[in-house]
Order: sequence, then C-alpha cells, then structure tokens
Amino acid sequence: MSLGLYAYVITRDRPDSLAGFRSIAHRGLALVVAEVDLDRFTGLDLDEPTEDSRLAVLVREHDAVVRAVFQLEPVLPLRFGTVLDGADAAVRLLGARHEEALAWLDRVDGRREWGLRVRAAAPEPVDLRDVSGTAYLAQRRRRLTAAEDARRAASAVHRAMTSHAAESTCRDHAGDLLLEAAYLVDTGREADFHAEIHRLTGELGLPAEITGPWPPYSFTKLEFADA
Amino acid sequence: MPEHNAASLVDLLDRVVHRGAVVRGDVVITLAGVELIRLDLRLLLIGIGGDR
Repeated sequence: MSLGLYAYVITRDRPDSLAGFRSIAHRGLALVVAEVDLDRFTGLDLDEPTEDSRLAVLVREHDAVVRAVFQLEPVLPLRFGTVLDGADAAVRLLGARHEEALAWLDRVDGRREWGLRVRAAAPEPVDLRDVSGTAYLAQRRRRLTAAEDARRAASAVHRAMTSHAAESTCRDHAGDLLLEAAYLVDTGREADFHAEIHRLTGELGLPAEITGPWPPYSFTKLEFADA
Repeated sequence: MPEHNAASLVDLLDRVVHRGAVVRGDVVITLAGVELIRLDLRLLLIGIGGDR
C-alpha cells in the first residue's frame, strides 16, 4: 500500500470549524487533507463510469469532504486527484499563492454555485405521408425559425441570470442543449435568483434543469503552477 | 418549469474532476498512476462537455 497526502480544499484557518478534519495551516490559510491509499486511484474505469463504479465512489467521497468544509467556511476546491508530497509541500503550496488564495476566498464567501441547463423543447413529430412537398418545406422553415428563437431565448435567460449572480460561466453545449451554465449567487439573493429562473423559463416555455447548491467548483479558476 | 434534480454523476464528475484549483510543480506527487488518472480523465471529460 502506498500512501499519499490527498488535498481537498483550501480554506481559512479556523481551528474551531476545522476541528473534525485533518488540516495543515499556514499564515491564515488551511489545507484540508487526508492520508489516502494511492492504490485506490489506479486502474479506474474511466470509459463509462457507472453510479457504483470506483471512480464514482472516489468522486463522491471527494465531494462529501468539500461540502462538509463548505458548510462551515468558504472553500477553494482542489481538482480531483491532487496528491501532495507531504506536509512540507502543503505549507509551500499555501505560501506560494498566499495573497491570491485569500482574495479568492473573499470572492466566494457567502456565495453558492447553481447549475442551469436549458434544453430545446422536443419538436412535434411529422407524419411525412400526410404532408405535401410545399407543406413540408414550410414546416421545416418554421422549425428552423423556432430553433433560432429558442437559442436566442436561452441567451436572454443567461444574460438575465448573470445579472442576478455575482459571477457566471457558460460551458460549451451541443445537441438539444441550449444553455449549460453555472452561477455564483449570494445566499441572500438565492430566492430572487430562483424566482427569476422559474419566471423566465416558464414564460419562454423552455425546459430547464437546476442543480445545486454546489461549492464554488466552477468559480475556483486558480492555478498553483509552482511552489 | 425548471426541475430541481439530484445532481447526476455527470454533473458531479464535471465539477469535481474538471473544475477547481489546479496544483502543479514539485509539491505534487508525480506518481505515474496519479498523473495517469489526470490524463485519462481529461480524455473522458471531452465527452462530458465543458469550457476548455
């Protein structure tokens, strides 16, 4: 068995909050860590991870630790699979981007991430046997226009929700997905944020899925390149 | 109307594996196995979608 120091999140060094965790502190920052058996991370099934795959189990464990800290303090989640070369390395990591990490913690403090996915409504099926060539073309034009309208509506939803959020980020999307976005929202403004999503997507007739609340995974774009 | 769904595995993988602070350099263990996970997961996530 080979052991490694797995790092979950950077947070503020608050000994009361972090009592239940193993953490390494340095100048007001703390890194929440655990000794892990690295053998658990080898040979994962990456092609089609199922709900009960080892990868899914590890990822859920990672998420559980991040969330447990997130309930108590603002967090900067580290990417899955971050294993450090011991406690000294952890201190060097915290020292390397000290000011930057503190600034990022202020930035996400009191805020949670919400995901929003908007799909195109499924088009009504056409029975080609009953449709003349002209009618078919007219219908096809109507569909293309409707698809363009739906894309525009989804962009409008994203703009509106961005104005209700502290930060937003839009992912690439394909197929019937019109919008795949994440928003960092002040906890005090969440009720308004959700009311606005319901109102807008309801008005526009767009099927929407909300996920969250999440720790600020999508809003921790920080790189510790060197230490 | 929007639906509140339990986070799917895809949403979770997208965030836990593809987002978050990245640590490079000599503080990180360069065990071949762990580095390999990283590379493989990057490939995996191409199929999941994200702003890369």
